[in-house]
Amino acid sequence: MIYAENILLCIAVPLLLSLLFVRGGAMRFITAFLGGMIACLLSAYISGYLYLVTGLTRQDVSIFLSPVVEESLKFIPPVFILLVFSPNDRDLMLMAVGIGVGFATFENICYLLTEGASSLLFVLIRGLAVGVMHIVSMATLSIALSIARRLHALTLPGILGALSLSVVFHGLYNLLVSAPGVTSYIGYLLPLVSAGFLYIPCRLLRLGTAEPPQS
Amino acid sequence: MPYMIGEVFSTGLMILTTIVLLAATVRLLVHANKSMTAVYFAFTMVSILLSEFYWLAYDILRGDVRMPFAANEFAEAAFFLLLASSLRTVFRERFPVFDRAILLTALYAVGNIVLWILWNGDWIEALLTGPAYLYFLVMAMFALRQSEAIRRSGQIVLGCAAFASLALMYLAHFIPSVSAAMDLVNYILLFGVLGAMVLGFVRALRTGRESRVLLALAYCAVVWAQNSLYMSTGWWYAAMEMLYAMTMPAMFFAVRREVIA
Repeated sequence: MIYAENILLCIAVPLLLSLLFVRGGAMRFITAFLGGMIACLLSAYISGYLYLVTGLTRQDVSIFLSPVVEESLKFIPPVFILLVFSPNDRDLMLMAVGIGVGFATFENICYLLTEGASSLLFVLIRGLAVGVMHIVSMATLSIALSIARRLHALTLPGILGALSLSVVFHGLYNLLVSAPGVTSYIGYLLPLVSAGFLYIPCRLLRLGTAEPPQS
Repeated sequence: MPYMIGEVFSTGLMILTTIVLLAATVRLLVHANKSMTAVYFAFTMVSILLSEFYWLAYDILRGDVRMPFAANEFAEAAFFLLLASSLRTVFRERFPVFDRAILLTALYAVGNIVLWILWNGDWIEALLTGPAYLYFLVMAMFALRQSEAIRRSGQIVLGCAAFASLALMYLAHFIPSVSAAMDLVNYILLFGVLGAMVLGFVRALRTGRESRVLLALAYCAVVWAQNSLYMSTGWWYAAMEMLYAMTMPAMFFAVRREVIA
């Protein structure tokens, strides 16, 4: 058993203190990173609760329910900030990716403390597959929200549509890697390949630039 | 199980159709200068595509076990909401909440949602997808009435067929001894009505009827096909999914006609 709250405190305190000395994009990224770690802890609580009440096996909870819980929790901060503060596309992407990286980092730390880090293959899979998957799912969400805003489709269906992209992407990854064999290899490659594909619309739509949203 | 191969094949067909339609919609968006109808339709295609990929992976990995509440339910709820929103961008008239046909459509939707719960006991799935499904059904009926795509007598026949199909499903559920016969009659009804809808759409397209009519007919065909899909199992499911895949281009043609008009 690990004490996830203690680990969170240990990592969060220096990051919180660093906020005193940085400004602008760096501050927003660190804040989002912290938000991602908190979302990870909360989703672990909720998934644990769902495991107790649904009667599903631990593996089924992680395949079918965890993607819904995790993506929903990661989705709340960007959508709240988007609707309240209307950040530009670059800041939205910065924050979404920050949440994804924070989530992936905290999850990886907890897994490595539980399972050990002696196997290089396991560590690489955690880093290149699961870690990248959280970033890709959040980048997908950010791109979808930016496109919806540019096309004046930032309505409930538009937002839910954006959420569904990240939830299904995450769910698909978890499903593919749940069984050994060819499908798991496809699953491990999925985040990296998707990251490559996401880079294209990012450049084409110039989502990395700081231009203000068209209204 | 041989019918699993059929399901994998029909899901593959659906993926191919969706990819082609998504590419065509993106092309349409470039020319259509941010048409909201096309924007919602493009988002719908992406949702369907991901949901179908999920189904394909599930069929291959765990096809013999019924899927519990899973991530793709979000895609289905988004699918219904996005399609309803794309209809709303065209049919902007005041929504008649207490219209008899609208209320009957809502009743039919609730009847279907109760049936889902009876089949699998999954309340969460019904709560998440149910309201979006109800909204889409009601919007499709609203579009059908506003566009006057089919005559009043046709609307009555469609309503009777829908409720007859629902009644057959309830009978099949509560009286297991007659379920096989009820299912067979229901499949004939479902396929027959869907065939009539597709023919009606093709005739409307060829006779150059206005885009609102085409949209109403195409979206109603999709609603019917989706409903029929929920009511089907085994080979029937695979066959219905292939027909469902064919209703998707109808939707695209209707959207394109609307956007270009």
